[in-house]
Amino acid sequence: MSTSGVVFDIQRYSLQDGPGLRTLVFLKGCPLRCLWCSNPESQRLEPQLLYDGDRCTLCLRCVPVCPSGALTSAGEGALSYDLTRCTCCGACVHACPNGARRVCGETMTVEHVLGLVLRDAPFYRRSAGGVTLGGGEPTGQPQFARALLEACRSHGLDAAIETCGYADTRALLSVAMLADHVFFDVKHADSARHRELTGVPNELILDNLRALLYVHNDVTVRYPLVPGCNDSGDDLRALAHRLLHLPRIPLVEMVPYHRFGEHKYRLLGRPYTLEGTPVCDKQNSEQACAILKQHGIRCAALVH
Amino acid sequence: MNRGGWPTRSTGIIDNYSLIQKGIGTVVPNYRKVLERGVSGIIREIDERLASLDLTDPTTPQRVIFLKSAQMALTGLVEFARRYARRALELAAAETDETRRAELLRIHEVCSHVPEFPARDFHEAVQSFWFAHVAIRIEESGHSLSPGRFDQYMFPFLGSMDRDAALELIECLFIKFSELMLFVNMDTSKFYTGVPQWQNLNVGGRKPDGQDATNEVSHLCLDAMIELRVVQPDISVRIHDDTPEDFVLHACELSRLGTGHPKFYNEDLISYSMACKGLSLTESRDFAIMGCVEPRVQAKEGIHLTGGFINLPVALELALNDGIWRRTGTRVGLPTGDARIFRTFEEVRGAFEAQLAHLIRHMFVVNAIAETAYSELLCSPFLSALTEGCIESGRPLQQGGAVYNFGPAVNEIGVADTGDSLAAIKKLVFDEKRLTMDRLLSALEHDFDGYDDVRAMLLHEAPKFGNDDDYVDTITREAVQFGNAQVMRYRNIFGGQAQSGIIAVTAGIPFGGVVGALPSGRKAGQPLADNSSPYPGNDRFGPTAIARSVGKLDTAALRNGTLLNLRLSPQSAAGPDGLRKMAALVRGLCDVGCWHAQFNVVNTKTLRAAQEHPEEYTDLLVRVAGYSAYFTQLHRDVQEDIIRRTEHGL
Repeated sequence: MSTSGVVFDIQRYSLQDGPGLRTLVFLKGCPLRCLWCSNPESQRLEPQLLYDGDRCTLCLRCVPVCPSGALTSAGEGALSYDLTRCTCCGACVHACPNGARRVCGETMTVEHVLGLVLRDAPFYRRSAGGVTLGGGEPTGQPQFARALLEACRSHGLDAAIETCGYADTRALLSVAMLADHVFFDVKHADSARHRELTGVPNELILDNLRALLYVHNDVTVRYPLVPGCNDSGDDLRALAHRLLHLPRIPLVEMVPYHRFGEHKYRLLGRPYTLEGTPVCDKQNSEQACAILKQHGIRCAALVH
Repeated sequence: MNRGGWPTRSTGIIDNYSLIQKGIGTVVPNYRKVLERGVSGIIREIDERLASLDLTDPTTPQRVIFLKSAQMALTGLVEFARRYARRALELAAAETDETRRAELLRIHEVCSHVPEFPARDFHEAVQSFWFAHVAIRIEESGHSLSPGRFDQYMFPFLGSMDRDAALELIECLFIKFSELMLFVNMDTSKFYTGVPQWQNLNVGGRKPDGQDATNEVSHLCLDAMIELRVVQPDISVRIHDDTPEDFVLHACELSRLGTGHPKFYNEDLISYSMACKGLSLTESRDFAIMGCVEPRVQAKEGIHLTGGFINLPVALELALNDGIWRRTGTRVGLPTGDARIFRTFEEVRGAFEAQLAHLIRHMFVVNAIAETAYSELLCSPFLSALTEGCIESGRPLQQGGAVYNFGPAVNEIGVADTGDSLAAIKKLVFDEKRLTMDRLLSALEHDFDGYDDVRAMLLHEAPKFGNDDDYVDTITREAVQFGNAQVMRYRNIFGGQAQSGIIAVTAGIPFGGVVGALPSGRKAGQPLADNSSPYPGNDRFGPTAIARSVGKLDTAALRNGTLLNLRLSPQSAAGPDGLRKMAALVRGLCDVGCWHAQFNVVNTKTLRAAQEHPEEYTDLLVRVAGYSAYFTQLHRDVQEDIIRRTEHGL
């Protein structure tokens, strides 16, 4: 049987996740819970139901079709959803006349994903582009990620991964060594603060980065610049200090915080912790870059 | 029917009225001849032709009439230019400013020499071109009177001229192009909103011998448009594998300004399509794009007397209703039977094809009458004199004097609507049997009123054209190519083969107005999909997937061309890296078989409009780092942030 995994989105014509024009394959499931996560629907490995209250007309057609009783009519014109009962069977998705419901996450085989990825092969050829595995966290499904990367390589595609770095070291290296480019997130230099912001400490992540730099020659560090979380001068100097102790100093890309994922929290019925946080503008990222550059670290500011 | 079948207004099912009512156009005249030989040279050629006529041939008197009228028109142009020369001299005499007087004297000198004699430098070539173009526009208020391969016939005159001075001349010319206007009636203005001119100016491509044709004039034309940003001429950039990268990047630089210029063309695919008409390899390479996206054999191909639009979704509506048009309740199609008893999808498709063939036949009934009237009643002696074949044959364009007379062109409208509808029927009614034909037809009849569950299924659970989905893309191609094959059965009054394409201009709006609800989920009266684009809001995977769907239509077989509008966010083309990626996208579009593409780079106005009318902009993608979002789904303050960034070109 062919290897399969859970994918939550495939985005063609991606322009900033490696060289050229790329197809981004988002693997579902992530060990981190970053406050600013713009893909909150990617965090759980299992498929999830998304519900758009703005589209819902409360016609209640979803209620009788739900086989597990997760949806109930809560009196006149109200709907109640019990997440713990939901099995994500998708019956309510089919029943909804307004497209207010969607299942996020699909189990796909390597062949299926590869077939979709290869559709843009002419565009990869013209741009020296290829495929990028993102997430979620691609190393969270190491077997699937390896099989996908191997399949892409056998078709001559340039391959990249984007990782949060929080994984078993051997699993991470086994996936990363199959990729031409690795984008490796570092989110805070201080472990305690890292835990506050992402739910996990950073020692494993930094150890993995060190290990990777010994064996892989195309690693870019990505730092999500989030106002009030990790953008102070001290935060950035601490980051620089960490990076200077690595065996090789990688290029750093500043990823400015944006709020394009905010509406997804509503779809998931979850609060958005960073409500009211200002987005990062070009000036913020350039200032951050300047601090790293003072330490002799190459740094580039990405745009939204 | 009325007055012997002559249409007095468009039905919206077929439309050739708009074309019939407009002036003669859709041609690429032989400007090179005017520049290189001068009008006097052409007058001499006619003299020689007159002298060689066999006076005992009974067709000779007709030829003499045409040739002499052409000479009169050409002589008129010489006099027209002399008036400018005289006026410039008068103004110069009264001018006190030295610089201005020198300019006026130069104008006097140029207008005294061209277009009567061959141009001697770039300035004279530009002036000679313009005199010829204006003369054509005086003779005909026709659309798509196109300069064609301007960079090719102008380059020999460029010489060592100062490039800034050459650029200024081209800019003056572009401003003049933008001053011209057409006269059209009210109906036509609905099909051609904004009264576009389609003075299509080509740059780049291949020479007839196959070598790359890009030259300095090609670049100067791009520079002129980058500086001016005027509506006319339409700049068409021709791309092939050997097109220099700096030229593609230069064209993308113009494109990302968001003016709609230039249009990109797939040079080799179009040459291939031209060769299928039986043209030689060199002629196939030396095509010129005129109008929207239509190729013509440069300087050798005649006018299309008729042509028009065909409404594909109406054919499907008739197929599902035994030939009865929902709008009027009358039978305008063939009695193809009650769709409720169709057992297979093939029966549905068979009925659709029968109805479509019937509609196309009717189009050519009107065409036959119109072509007869044209050839008997009208003559364009000047334009004919500038088309190869007319002087040799002694016949004007309206009598088939040109070397080649392909056409007319019939454009298929509502492509995505038709493909989506057929795919929905196949999948939901026949493959999966989740919907009965009876219920589907009732839902359509009631415009989905009380059938929102049916509409939801049609909208969300049937595949849609534009997503690189073979299921629906194949069905769409088969529908389009069936229409194409039907059109190609017909010939014009000169024996040339008709051709079809997918160019809607704005016909999708009036055509959509007469189509009831469709199995695609579209409600009655809504506009049809734009040209070869997916129905608005149906595309989910961006421009590469759209391009692959369009490529699958087999565009080379659609000899009149296939038009594709794509929307890009300015961020995706920002900076040198964005520009390179845009160039790669353009080249990739050619690889996957698109005939043409042009980019609407989203501006603040569009984003504001999307805030006002989110339902019309559900497909508006905003690209961000590693992330994309549908603009209309974003919070208002996030939208504002994007608008701010768009304004600042970030």
